[in-house]
Formats: sequence, structure tokens, C-alpha cells
Amino acid sequence: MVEVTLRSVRNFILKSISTSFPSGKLSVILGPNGAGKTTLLKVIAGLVDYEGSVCFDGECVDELPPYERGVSYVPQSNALFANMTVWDNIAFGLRIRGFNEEYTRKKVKELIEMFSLGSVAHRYPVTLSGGEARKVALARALAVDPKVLLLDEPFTNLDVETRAAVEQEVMMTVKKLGRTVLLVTHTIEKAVVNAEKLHILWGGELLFSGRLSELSTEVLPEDVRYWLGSIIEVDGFYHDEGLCYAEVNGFKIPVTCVREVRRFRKVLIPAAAVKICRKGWLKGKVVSTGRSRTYFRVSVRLGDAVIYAITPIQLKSGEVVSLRISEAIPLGD
Amino acid sequence: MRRLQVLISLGTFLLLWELVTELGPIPRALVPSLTDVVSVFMSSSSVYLIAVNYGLTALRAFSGFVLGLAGGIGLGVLFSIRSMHNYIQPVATLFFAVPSVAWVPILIVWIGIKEFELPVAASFLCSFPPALYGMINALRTVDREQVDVAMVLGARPQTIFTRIVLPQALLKIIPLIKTEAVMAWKTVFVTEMIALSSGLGYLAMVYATTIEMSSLIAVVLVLALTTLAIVQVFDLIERRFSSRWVGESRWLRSPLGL
Repeated sequence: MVEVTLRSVRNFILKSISTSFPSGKLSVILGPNGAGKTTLLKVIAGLVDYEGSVCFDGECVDELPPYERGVSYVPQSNALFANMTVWDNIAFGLRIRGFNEEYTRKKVKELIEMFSLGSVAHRYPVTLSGGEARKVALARALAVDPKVLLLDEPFTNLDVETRAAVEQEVMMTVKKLGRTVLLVTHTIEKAVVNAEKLHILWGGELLFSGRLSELSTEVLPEDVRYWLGSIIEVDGFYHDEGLCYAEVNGFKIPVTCVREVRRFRKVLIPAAAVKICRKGWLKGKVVSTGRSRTYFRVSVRLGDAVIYAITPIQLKSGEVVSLRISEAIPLGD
Repeated sequence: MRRLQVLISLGTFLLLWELVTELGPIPRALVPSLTDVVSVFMSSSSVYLIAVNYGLTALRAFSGFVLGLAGGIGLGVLFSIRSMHNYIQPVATLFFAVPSVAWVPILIVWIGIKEFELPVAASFLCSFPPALYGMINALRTVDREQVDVAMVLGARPQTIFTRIVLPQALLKIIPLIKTEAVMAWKTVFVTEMIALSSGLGYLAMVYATTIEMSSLIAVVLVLALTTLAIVQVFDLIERRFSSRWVGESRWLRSPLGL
């Protein structure tokens, strides 16, 4: 268990926070840009000054330098060492820690095979694709056998296919190697569904910490609701020609396909996944409208459910609109 | 294909030069033909004279350049480690902005017309400010996240500096050093023209005074070929040490594309 109790972090937005992350499981820290997610990871890694405590399985590591905390950190940019080959990047931590060359070679080879990096092992980072670079950064982080793996936005700037592959690698790392993984993201994605615990950070404050099934957007501030989206109960899930759908009040909504989708009871419909259209078969009535700096907020009643959306068009309450939902996320077991 | 284009371009120029000066209305006393210039390199006394003075110019330029480079890089590292770069950088920027040749009259007053010290000081001032300025900037702009990752992986500050920060900072200043190496060479030439009684620049002035145009153009040709050689050497260094780190496309080929 990773326990974090923060009073303040100098020069950063992060405020007083107290939370924990379960051992050997995936925890997701969700929040928009500038919410303090990366800072929280850096606090755990010991890379920024803070007041408070960070404890791993009851042992507090506040006085320890980053390399003695038993963590590994993969930043959003991957931060591969540009002057070293893929092999040397992965071997870096082992060599620095004084492991002998034979062990280093064996370990690096193992990781290169695990992440299918054999064809690029002797290339320099500049020649790698986004997905390859991300895998190298993951392999380098795992080489030193960390107790806790800190991943900062590991799925951004990747195409759909590569993203799916990296998601799979992360999940495999959690399951196969039993690592505690803390993953930071600003978008709701498949990894969120697989998380044991979800943390929502907003403006440096921890708004939610718990299992995904316990999340209810109604208790969140309006700003957060329109960023996160709406959570609604579903009547059921079904597959159709390889795609997954949820049935809500007789309506069919496309959802992300996850294993055992039928056991889920709710879906999260991200506000960004909802488009307001003039024509379409999914019709609802505008129940409230609002305005933020760059767009309009609308909540639309769809049967018993209320869907939050953002739109560039100003709408009036009571207006009937059509909705197009690109993809909802199944929630809760 | 590229080499063929270079050969065609140069060959056409040399042919036109020869034809225009041999057959055209321009007096050969002012613009000698290609064969006139080549004949200078056939004369052992001319070659000896050019070689001796070339050696002097090269020694002066190289000594000052290396001293400036070592001093600039060393101080740049020191100031960055001691977090003094914010105080030093504005001054380094100011010195960097002064054209190298502008130092020559100032140095004549300060040092006097000394055959070795004056050109070496001029060459030093070509490489020292840019090396210092470049090094401070390069060290400040090294990716902070790489440093964070290295720290988490177990590297101590000294190791991070020598294994990650310094190689990447040096890589960033190579293009700047290349420009300044050429500038040092040219500045020593100009210093010799203005103030000294030896070196290629002095020789050029002598030939100009006596209107020995073939010899003068031969000296200018040596000056130009050396400039190209310097660019070529730095291109090789860039390709050998850094193109694989930052990608081939960033590096421009030398003017001759060799």
C-alpha cells in the first residue's frame, strides 16, 4: 500500500491530500491539465520538495533520495537518453546501481524480448516511433525492479493501435509482475476501467478517491461534471458484429469493449464523446444550459438519464436535440 | 548524383574562368587565368612562401581557437554548476554579439603589434564568447525530465552530468563551434592584413601592393579551401558523434556536399 499524506508542495498547485494506492494493483489518477497529477507522482518519487509523508507498506520514505525509494518513473515525454542506444537506456539503471555486466545483459535481454524491442535494440531514441519509445521507457523503468511504477500519461500521442498495445503492456506488467502501478491520465480510457482505484484531481484538490463503481458524478462540482461526463445505469450490454453496446432506456449506446462487459451495470459517457446534432435517432430534451469560457454546457434528458455535453452552439432549455455518442466507458462490477 | 552535380558545377566555373580570361576583353594583369594561378602552385619558391605563411596563420588561428574553446566550455560548465549563469549569460551574450573583427583594433591598442599574441588573442575572442554562451545555454536547456529519470534510476549528480547532460550539451554547441572556427581563421587572416608582417593575410597584402594578381588569387584560393576543409572536418565530427543522436536530417551538408 502506498500512502500519501501531503500538507503542501512548494511552488506547485497541489494542496493538502491524503490518500492511498493498493499494492500490486493499478491505480489511476485522473484530472485535467494542470490539476497537479504529475506533481503527485513527483512527490511519490521524491523529485520535488514537499511537506507531508509518503509511505510504502507502512515504511515512510520521506528522508530517502529518489533512487532509494524503490520507485521507477516514466514521464510523459519518455525522457529517453538521446545519447544512448535502446540497449544502453534500458541497462542504465542496472549499471548505475552496480549490477555486474552478466546480470545486466540477461535482464536487458529479457526486457527487450518482453517488449518486442529486438529489432531496435541498437538504435538511438531519435529513430524510434512513439510506441517503441514508450516501450523502451517502460522497459528502462522496469529494469531496476521497482516496487512502485509511476506512469505519467503513458497513452498520449499514440495512434489507436499503438495505444492499445501499450495499454496491454501496462496491464500485463501489473498482472504478471505484480507491480503497484500509479497511472496519471487526463482522458478516460480503457485503463481507467481496469483500475483498482480511481483518484480525481481538480485544481490541486483530491475530489474523489475510491473504486470506479463508487463514482457518482452528481456529487462532483459542475465544472468537473462537464469535464468528466455523466454516469448512468444501463439495462444491459450486448455485442453486435464485434462492437459492444449498452442499452439505456431502450436506446443503444456504443461502449468500449472490455472483458466480461455483461457484468458491468453503469456507463460513463464523457462529455467530449457527446455531439449535439440537428438530426439523429437518439433524441433528448435540453434541461439546463450554461456557459464556460469557450463553449456552452448543456444537460440533456434521455429517458430517465441526464447526459452532460459541451457544444459550440447556444441551446435553450426545453429544446429537443439529437445526440451522437461516440463511445461510453463501462463502469462498475 | 550529388557528387556529379558538384563536379559539373565546379568544372563549368573553372572552364568559364579560363575561357573568359584567355579570350575575353578583361586584362590578365587584373584577372589572371586559371592556368596562371595553377602555375603559381607549380613554382617551388611561391609554394614555399605560401606554405610558411600558411603554417603561421594556421598555428595562430588554431592556438587561439582551442584556448577560447577550452576556456568557454570550462567556464560555461563551472558557471552552470555554481548556478551563476543568470549573472554571466547577459555579459556572454553581449560579447557574443560583438563581431570578431571589431576586436582587432582594440587588441592592437591593448597588446600592440605582436606577431603571435595579437592574432592568437583575436582568434581566442572568436571562440571564447560563443563557447561560453553556447555552453551555458546548452546546459540550461538539457531536458529536466531526463535528469529526473536518471535520479530515480540511481544516478548521482556527477554521473548525470558526465553521462547525460554534458554529452547532450556538447552536441548542441557543435554547429556554433563550427561557425566560430571558420570565423577564427578569417579573423586571423584580417589581423595579418591590417597589422602584421607575416602570415597569409600579410602575404595577400604584399601581392596586392605589387599587383601580383596570380599569387594573390592563389592565396585567396588557399584561404577558401581551408575554410571549406574546416567546415568539412566539423561536418565529420557532427556525423560521427551526433547525427545518430539527433537524426541525420538536422545536419546540413558542407557547401561542396562531399
